[in-house]
Amino acid sequence: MVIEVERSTQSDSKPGRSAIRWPRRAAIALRNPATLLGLVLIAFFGYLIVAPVVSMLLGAVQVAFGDDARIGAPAGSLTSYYFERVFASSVSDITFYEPLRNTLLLSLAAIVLALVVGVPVAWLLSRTDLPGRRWFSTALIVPYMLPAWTYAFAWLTIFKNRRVGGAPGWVESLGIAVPDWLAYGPLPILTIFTLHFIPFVILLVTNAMKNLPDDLTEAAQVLGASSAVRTRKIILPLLKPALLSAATLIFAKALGEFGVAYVLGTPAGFSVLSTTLYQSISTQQPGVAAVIATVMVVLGSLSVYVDLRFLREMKRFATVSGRGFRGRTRSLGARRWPAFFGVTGLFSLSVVIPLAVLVLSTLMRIPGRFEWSNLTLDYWIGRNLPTVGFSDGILVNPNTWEATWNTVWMVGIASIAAGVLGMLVGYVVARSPARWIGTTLRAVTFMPYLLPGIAFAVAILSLFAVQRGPIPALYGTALLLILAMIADEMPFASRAGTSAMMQMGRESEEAAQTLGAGWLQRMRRIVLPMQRNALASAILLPFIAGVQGLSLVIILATPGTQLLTTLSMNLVDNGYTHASNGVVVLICLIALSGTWLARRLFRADLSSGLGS
Amino acid sequence: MKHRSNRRVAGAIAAALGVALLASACAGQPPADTGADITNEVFDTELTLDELIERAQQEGPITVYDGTSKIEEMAEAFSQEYGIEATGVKLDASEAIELVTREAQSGNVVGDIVAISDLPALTNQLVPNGFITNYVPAELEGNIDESMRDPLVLITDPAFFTYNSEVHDSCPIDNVWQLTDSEWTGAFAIDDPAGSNATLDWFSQLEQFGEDDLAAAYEEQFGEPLQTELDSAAAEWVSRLASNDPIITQSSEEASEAVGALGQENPPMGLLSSAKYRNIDEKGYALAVCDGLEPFTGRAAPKGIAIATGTESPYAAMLFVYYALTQEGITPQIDDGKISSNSEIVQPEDPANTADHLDTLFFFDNAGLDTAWADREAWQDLWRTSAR
Repeated sequence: MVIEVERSTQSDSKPGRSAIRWPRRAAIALRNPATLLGLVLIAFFGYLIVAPVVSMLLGAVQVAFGDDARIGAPAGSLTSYYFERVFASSVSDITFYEPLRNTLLLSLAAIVLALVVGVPVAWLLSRTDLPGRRWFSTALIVPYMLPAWTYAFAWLTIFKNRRVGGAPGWVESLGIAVPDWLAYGPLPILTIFTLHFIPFVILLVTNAMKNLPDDLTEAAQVLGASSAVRTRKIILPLLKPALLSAATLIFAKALGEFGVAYVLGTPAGFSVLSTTLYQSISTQQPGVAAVIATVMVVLGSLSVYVDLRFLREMKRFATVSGRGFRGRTRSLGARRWPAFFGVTGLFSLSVVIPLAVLVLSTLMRIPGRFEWSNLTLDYWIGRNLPTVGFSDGILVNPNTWEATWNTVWMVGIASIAAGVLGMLVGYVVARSPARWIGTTLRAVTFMPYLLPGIAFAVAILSLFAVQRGPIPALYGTALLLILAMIADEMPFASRAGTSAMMQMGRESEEAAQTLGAGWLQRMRRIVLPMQRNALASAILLPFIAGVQGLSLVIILATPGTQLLTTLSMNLVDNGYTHASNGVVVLICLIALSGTWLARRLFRADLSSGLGS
Repeated sequence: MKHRSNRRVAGAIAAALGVALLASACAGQPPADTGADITNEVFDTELTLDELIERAQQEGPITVYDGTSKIEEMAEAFSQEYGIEATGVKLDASEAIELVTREAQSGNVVGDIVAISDLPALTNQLVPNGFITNYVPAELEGNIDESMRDPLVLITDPAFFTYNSEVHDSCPIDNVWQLTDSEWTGAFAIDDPAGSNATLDWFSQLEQFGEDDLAAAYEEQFGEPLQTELDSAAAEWVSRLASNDPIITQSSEEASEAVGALGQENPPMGLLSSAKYRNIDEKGYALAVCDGLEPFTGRAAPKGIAIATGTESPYAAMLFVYYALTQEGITPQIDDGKISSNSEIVQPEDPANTADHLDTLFFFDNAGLDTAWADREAWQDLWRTSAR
């Protein structure tokens, strides 16, 4: 009976839904544990995410300290000054409109390219007998474990030309002149964005492809549908949530990515929104920064909205049902080896080359000089090096190990929490009859992704600096940093959770319910076991993002607590780029070991038990 | 169907707004009057140094924010010297300002002492609200130039006009106006001025205190007095420099590579922090200060130091300020060419030979801070429009 009621509120197509009055609808909705859970989660994330975001965005309309004389109003009062400065001043074209155009074009192009490359690769990895596909399925997501600036660094090392002076680039030292358009500006930025974002597509789409049921396509085939029709009518619609998820993630990431665009864009006079944002933060203009951040949040929200609209249709397709019709592997035949070389090529471009440049830089005494005598392991295992602030090699330096341990345990705890919360969010989105709860949760948990990290960190800080009601002052504790990390990592976790739960049919759960199983028992015995892989990836994605995170750590870590990212930044600050690059290699290794461990422990890897 | 889905979206938006409003009620930007007029009389002290040490040793631990990771070393040395536990935390100016503000507003002060390179922001954002207090140790006041006492300057950070000494035997230019010539188009490396307080404030300081020198240098270079439609010789120089297609770098480290890397045919010049001259040893770069450059060989941007008004360890904080102005205390920072504001301190040898260039550096004057703050956007705009 209960099931029947749930059904009737769930389905859009049933007539008479609106005839039920809202008190009764609410009563029915509340009978579902997912609704209650959803409300609790909304309250939790409302405090942890929405409040900091709002307090930050308010800075766009309130006079900042120190601006009272300039604006002619006391600090804290309402003002439109910052909006005018951004949208309608003599430099708006330079600082806002042109960067906005560049940002939009760049993000859209990056989405298209990443999908064009990523989807076929995902198909090869999940549904074919591609040689070494299990290995590739981990190897190809390494770009996601490397910070984006690594690519900019590698690009410059290889392609830089006389425009920026300094040591010659590798191509240049071969006697080949590198044109400016190849070295700087939109082309390299777009290439790097694409390479860096392909793992998003692979991760999300492989998972979905794995769950594509063969019975539907087979049925279509029996009915005489051509392969093009099958792709268009069955496969693509089923993949749509994953594709949209990937596109949204890429869009928001491209929106906020600062380092690459700044390093490679500046020499060509090519600027994006995050450049202006960075400039206004670093010249102490928080009001202008808040306006730019608002624009970014609005753009990001639009993309989430598009995502949500399309996702609603997906309610109709539930394909993970617990029944055994998992997709079968297809033989590539003669195309096996060309496909293999294609994937190997992608792997070389996106992993081998940038990583090799990075590692080489830690082995050379003088950058860019290719002689055996210039190679050294000193920066890894040497003692009493001339680099005064960091006189022991990376591997024998106690600072490194302390920072590594801090990184692992803090990010580890935060990711596990985020992963579990993400699955719960997904469950609410998929199950709660009151759909606005799911929609709100998804929007809220995605917010941190759209914000400049430092602004978010500061906002969180102000919230937890003093005791508010039952919430104690957490400032200066490791717990605050972990809470902030959880918030910061929710976008990945909740998306992984949502896309997994959306695909899970409700039959098994309903069967258990009919047999009298309570909600907790259903979660423990059915939902979580069925979603073991998804949970692993909901934990792993945040973990990998978290070990690279910097801005939260700078602001929120207890004084003196060093993490790998802050260590690497301090090394850069001292001019020890080789040592700092070594630390980045370590970060990448930790992310990789995390992936390996998760595969071992959960018998599932990021792109989900291929070949199992 | 259409209608209903619209309603659902509206519902979700309303819900999100509701949450937002609820949340912001307790999280919004605090009103301006918080913390205003807070003074702490404890800093108005006539204590002798020994008395100060005695009281300071009852207190602690203390935390110091500074823009350089050398602060960790300084704090450690301070702990050893006085037995007061001290931690140094590296934070850049905008981070430190945010932290100090939020900590002061919440009354939960963690950073007891803060050293910030953005002096205009310090005087305009932190001082008027009483978040920090300026404290100048009485024993040392006489050694500190009056233009550096309020707010108290800890060190100045010199950046020199630098050339590549592998290619050139001596500086290829002798006048800063030459950098605006076609000969140096695309060949001058500088940290992105649109994102650098030190550079924007330098422009303003030039206009306020270096105007005559710049105009004279112009006449010397071109043989006629400067005619400009802009407000000043400084503005004209900045505008011409920006439009001469300079190499914009993200850090002084990059600029040092651009100028100093070996094996270049036409290396650019650059404005480099003295600290980067250690790359001569560490990376083999060929860097040298442009001696004899008119009207100055570089600029020295100040970094201020102040005490968080709400600190629980005021005496330890005052003692740290004192310590940071002594030869022993500041050594980690002046080792690479930074200049203490205490004129009694002997400038150690450093790779840029800063000691030899003290007379030809352009120093900032605290009297110009408010104008620099008010004009910061204007200088940023001038740079951006001219660079286009």
